[in-house]
Amino acid sequence: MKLLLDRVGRLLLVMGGVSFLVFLLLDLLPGDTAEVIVSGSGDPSPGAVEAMRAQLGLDRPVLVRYVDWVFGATQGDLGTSYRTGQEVSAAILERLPVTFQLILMVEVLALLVAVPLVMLVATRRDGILDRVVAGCCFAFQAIPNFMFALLAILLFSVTLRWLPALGYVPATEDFGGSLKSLAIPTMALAAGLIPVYVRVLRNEMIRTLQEDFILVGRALGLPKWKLLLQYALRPSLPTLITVVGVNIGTLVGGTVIVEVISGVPGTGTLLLDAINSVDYVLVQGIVLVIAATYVLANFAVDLINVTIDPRMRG
Amino acid sequence: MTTVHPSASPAAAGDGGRPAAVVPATRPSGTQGPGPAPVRKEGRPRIRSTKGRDIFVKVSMVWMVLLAAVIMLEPLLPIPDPAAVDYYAIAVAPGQSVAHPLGTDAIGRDILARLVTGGRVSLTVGLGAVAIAAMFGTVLGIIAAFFKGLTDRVVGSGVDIFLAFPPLVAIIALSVFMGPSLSTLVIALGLIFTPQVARVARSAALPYVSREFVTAARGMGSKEFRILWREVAPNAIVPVLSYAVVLVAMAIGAEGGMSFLGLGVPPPQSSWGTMMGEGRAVLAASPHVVLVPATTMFLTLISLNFLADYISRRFDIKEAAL
Repeated sequence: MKLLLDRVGRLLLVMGGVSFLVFLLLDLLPGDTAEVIVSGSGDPSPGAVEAMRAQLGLDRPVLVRYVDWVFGATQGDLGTSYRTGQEVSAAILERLPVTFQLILMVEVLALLVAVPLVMLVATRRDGILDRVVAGCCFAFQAIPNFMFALLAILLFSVTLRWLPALGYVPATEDFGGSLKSLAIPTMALAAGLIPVYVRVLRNEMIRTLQEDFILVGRALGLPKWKLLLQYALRPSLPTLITVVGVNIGTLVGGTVIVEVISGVPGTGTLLLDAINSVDYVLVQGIVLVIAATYVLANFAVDLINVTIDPRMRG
Repeated sequence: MTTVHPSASPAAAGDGGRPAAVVPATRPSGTQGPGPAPVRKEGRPRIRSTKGRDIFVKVSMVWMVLLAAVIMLEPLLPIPDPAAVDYYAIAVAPGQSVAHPLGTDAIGRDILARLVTGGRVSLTVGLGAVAIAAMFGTVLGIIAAFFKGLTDRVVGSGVDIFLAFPPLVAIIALSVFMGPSLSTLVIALGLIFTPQVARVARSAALPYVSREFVTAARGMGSKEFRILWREVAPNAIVPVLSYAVVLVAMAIGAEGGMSFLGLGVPPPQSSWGTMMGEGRAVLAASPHVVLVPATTMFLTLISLNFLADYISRRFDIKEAAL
């Protein structure tokens, strides 16, 4: 319970810190929203800019505006985009499912590859397959994900013509087509995660396989697959769960480049658009959501770990 | 960049990377060594397959030295102007032309020349950013580990906040604020990597803070600062160094991603990422415009990873011999 309070406190601290940092950072930048709006309307006189500032409330001190914004945020109101007139929370909610779908696909693919691979490899440690896998992992983790995206486009869309290079189909319209449209960004992002998951799970699995109950199971003549799947996998999972959780948190802010390359209309593309069009209210909102997801994912991991392993309650 | 995976790729951090983590499990103290002993170098206990990796380490070193030499000696070498356009050789594939050994890009610029000048940008960003991050991060991390209590909490919260902050926003905001330039990129990436280094430095220093020699130094009347600097810091430095080399690779990758999006170094300059970004438009017709810089970058990144791995293994073996 004390731990829980501690975590919640930390969660609030981090979110407060991040949002204040963004607020301050964006405030320091030259060129504010008022100027953008006024110069767009064709009357860029200093008086008009001042009037617009007053109208938007931008003439108040930063701290006042920040407190105001936080009050709004706690009630789900992140402000209104001055550029499109759309509510920020609505704009984000529209894009968030796309990014979440992408992240879900990435995690599923990464685990579907990593877990069976480790099962194959862990029983024959230092065998040929183990070394090949280790080598591939080493090479893969050196490659930045935008390079994977480029190579995947080159291979699957340009050469083989199997997958579309650009675009996104919503899952509600055409489920298969939706999976297909996200296939390249999924592979690009998963390629960077698989080595991490393999390394973590392999270490745990090797440790588990040295336990006495595995020896007993083997002595009883249990088939190998049953031994691995039913008895060895579960005790090896906690560390992997932690790593997966942390990675889900980082992915929310880490999909930007791959989303842009593949033309996926998720929060990453929205963020880049917002920055390029000086739509600071929107940037603030997205950054808050990204930070919140990151913190919540870490929080969830802590809770899961505490639930499955009482020793961590200490 | 982003995507920078903060927690995703600390190959040599924390557990000391994959190979180091395997070593303790397979090393039975002494007797059961693999094969005949005399072949071993310097009598260090080794597991098999290390030899194969040492070749990679040597090749990596050769590649990095070669790269650094070519980049630094570029004015002396017979390399064409990277901005010069050869109208008679547009998008020539590598190996097709004597004048352009690695081919030309979509508007006829020599790829080899651009690789060399772009490499200077990429390496400057990588080394510069990590130098900043290593300096601030190490100091912060060791101070947090040493003084514990409130200091540790304050640094820890700062690290948490910065890790939750999307790096792309930080880079873009800084480049708007300070004007897009090479030094902006270096500072921005340096700031982004600082909390990660601080984390590694903290966990590296923590076990030493309560060791006997620290108590002994204190008993002999050393000042706290001296203990921090002379007793704790030197012990924490090797894991940080190994992680820093991985970070150089990550910084180069991150810079590539930023330049790829057109948010990196401003136009007259270009980096490997810029080259890939430009090549994306002609991916179907002439893939080599992307593939050549991609290969160069890959070789550099994997070399750095091999070197980091090597550093952490060296460290681990020394520890085990104690």
